[in-house]
Parts: sequence; structure tokens; C-alpha cells
Amino acid sequence: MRINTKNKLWIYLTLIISIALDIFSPEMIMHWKPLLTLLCLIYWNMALPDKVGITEAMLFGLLLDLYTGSLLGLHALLFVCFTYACQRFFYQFRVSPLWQQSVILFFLFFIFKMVFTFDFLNVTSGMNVSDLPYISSAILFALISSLCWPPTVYVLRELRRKKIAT
Amino acid sequence: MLRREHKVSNISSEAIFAIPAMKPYRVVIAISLCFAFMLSDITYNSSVIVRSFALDLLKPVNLIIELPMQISEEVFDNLSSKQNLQRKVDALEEENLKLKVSNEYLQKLSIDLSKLNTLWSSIDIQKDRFVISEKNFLSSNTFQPMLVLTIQDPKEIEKNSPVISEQGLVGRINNIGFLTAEVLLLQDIRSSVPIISEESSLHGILNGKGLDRKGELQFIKKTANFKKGEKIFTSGLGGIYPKGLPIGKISSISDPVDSEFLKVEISFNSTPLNHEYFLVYKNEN
Repeated sequence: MRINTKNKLWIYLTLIISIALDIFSPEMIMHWKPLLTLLCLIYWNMALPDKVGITEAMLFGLLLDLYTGSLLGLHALLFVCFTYACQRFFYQFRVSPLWQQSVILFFLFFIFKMVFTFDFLNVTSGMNVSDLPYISSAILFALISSLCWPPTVYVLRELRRKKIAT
Repeated sequence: MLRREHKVSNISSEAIFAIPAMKPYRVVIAISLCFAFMLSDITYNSSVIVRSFALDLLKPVNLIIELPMQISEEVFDNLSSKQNLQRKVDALEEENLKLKVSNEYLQKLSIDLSKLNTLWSSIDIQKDRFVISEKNFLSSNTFQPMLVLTIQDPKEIEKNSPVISEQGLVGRINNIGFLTAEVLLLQDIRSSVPIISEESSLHGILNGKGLDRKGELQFIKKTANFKKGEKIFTSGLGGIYPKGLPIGKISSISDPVDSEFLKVEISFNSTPLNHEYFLVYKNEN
């Protein structure tokens, strides 16, 4: 098997596992559980920007849209934007300490969660459906996702070093 | 490689070399495609068709994930020789669930009978009209939560069939695949259910506001005499939900000064969380 194909397979495997964990996560943590697919995608965009890109972001975004029941294309759009931001600023992001990366990701994940409050289907009288409990859960989600960033980095880094040839 | 000599990545601990930048036209095309998907979903509800089959494809993944748990359960059951007893308990639980739903019906019917003395003949509550379905998974989407049920035979149920738990109405079938069916929950912001209140017998439309949130009655005039704590049931108007299914109770009534309508919040009896089995009500038609 060609090295490039093998590398892609490993990257896709991590993304598939993370999307499966996102879909089948326990219900009691569903409102604040970290979005592992996005964390994985960010990591691969940072670590191997020449191997992961827009196609993967769109593909896994659309899958998540289908399996979470959200508006088709919304996750994909956000994933594409995140991928672009990661690839545009990865020189700056990669060299910063992990705690700084986590802080940046906290704000990104908060924005990510708040985008879902826009009433795209126009079913309510207002422009959006956010309220205090939702904002609190969005902050919690962003906090836990940013806290999960260092373990994600360490796990995927080990995998990358052992399995992915560069 | 020393940090002071080269810029070193904190992620890969390697020197950072130039990598060709992402081409902007690809990003523009991808974003345009995403907007096209969103517009087609908003306008034509295109995701409904794709989603039912996509959910079918996910079924094997679900089985793989559940496999270790099932194996351990099986081993445990075999070791403790309780398998037969377990089957009996499952069957009894199923029967109990059906009876509880029937009981909810009967309670509402008896109230209506004392008021109108006519509903006994108009509502049929045969147990054969229920199909039991197991929960596959519940999506974490707050505003458009999606409950996916495993179905034995797609022909047994039809679109818009009400889905019920022992506590009351849960939602209606929105989409049917070969192995799974998607349920539009009462809590979904797209859900609208015609309701009637128990004591005041006032009608209204109940809209969902998201999972773990209270629903809200739409366009209730300020002269309406709803009472806090009053139970609400499906009114049967619209022809989708049968009359008399319990939904919840009025948790708060407020009179906002900047609105011409009352704000009536409803706490739902039934939630898809922590429930494994649901009943799908087969419509007579």
C-alpha cells in the first residue's frame, strides 16, 4: 500500500472513530460533551496541513449534519471555515503553548455553538433561539472542548509518530 | 533540533517548513456548496430523503459499538442462569408499557366522559394498534433533536404516526428508512401540536423550544383563562395526533408588556432521554 494512502487511512480512521463517539455518546453529557470530530480535524489541519483539507472538512461536516439532524450543510460550513482558519494561521498557532491554543479554541468553540442558535428555518418569531441556559451550556461546551485539546493533541501525536510516515 | 535555532512546532516538535497555502478558490467553492446545501434543505427539505438512508447505513456501526456491551450482558446472563427470567421480565415490561399508555388514555377518557359523555365511542384504544420500537440513538442537537428508532418492518408504521411513551406523547414519525425511523420530537423547534387544556378546555398550538426546555403556546389572547398547573392533551385537530394523548402541564403564565399575546409555558411529561422503548401508534387510515 502506498505511504500516502496508508496515512490517509489512519487519518480517516481517527475521524470516523471520533464521529462515531460524537453520535453515540451518552445522553446525560450530550449538551456539553466536546465535539471530537472537530478537535481531530483541527489537530490534523495543524499537524499535517498538506494531508487534510477542505474535502475532509466538508465530508465529515455533512455526515455530522445527517446524523445529528441539523440543517444540511451547517456543520460542513463551520468545519470548512475552521479548516481555513487553521490552515491560514497554523504557523502562528502551532508554535504557541498548549494552554494558549486551548484559550483560542475556547472562543472558537463558543462561536461554533452559538451559530446553531440562528433560526435558519424561520420557525420562531425572533432572529435566534438562544437564551441564558443555552449560553451557559455553550460556555461549558467550549470550556470542556478546550480542556480536551491537550489530551487530543497527545493521543493523536503519538499515533502520528508511530503510524503516519511523513 | 534546538528551539532557538528554528521555529519548532509544539504539536509535532519538528521544525516548521513552508507548506503551500490552501487555494482560496477551493474555500470559496466549498462555502458556496455548503450554502447551496443549506438553501436546498430550507427550501425543499432535501435532507429528509438522504437522512433516512444515511441512518440505515449507521445501523451496523451502532451494532459494532453495542457489541461489547451485548456480549458482556449475554455472558453475565448465562453465568447467572437468568436468561429465561430476563425474557419474561422484558415481555412483562413491554406489556406494562402498553398498559400504562392505555391507562393514560383511560384517565383522560373518563374525565371527558363526565364532561361530555360522548368520547367512549369516538376513541378506539386497541393494543394491537401499537408497535413497540427500541431507541437507536438521540442526537445532541439542542434545537432540532432527532430521535432514531429501530423498526422491524417499515410497512408497519407510516409517516406522521404518533410516538408515545408511558408518560405521554413524544413526537411523530418524520422519516422512515429500511431499518430505522426518525422521530420529530415535541421539543423540536419545528414541531407544532394542536392541544386542549383539561379544565378550561381552551385550544392552542404548542411549539417546541429545544431539548430540556419548556414548550410554548402560540398566539394566546390575553383574555384566555388558562390556569397554572393545568394538564394539556392533544386536541385531535389537524388529524395527525389522536385526541386525548397527554402532553404536559402549564408551568407558567406571564403577560409580557411588549406582546399582544400571553406567554404560556408547558413542561412536557415525556422526554426521550433515559427511555429505551417507545410505542408507535398506527393510524386507522
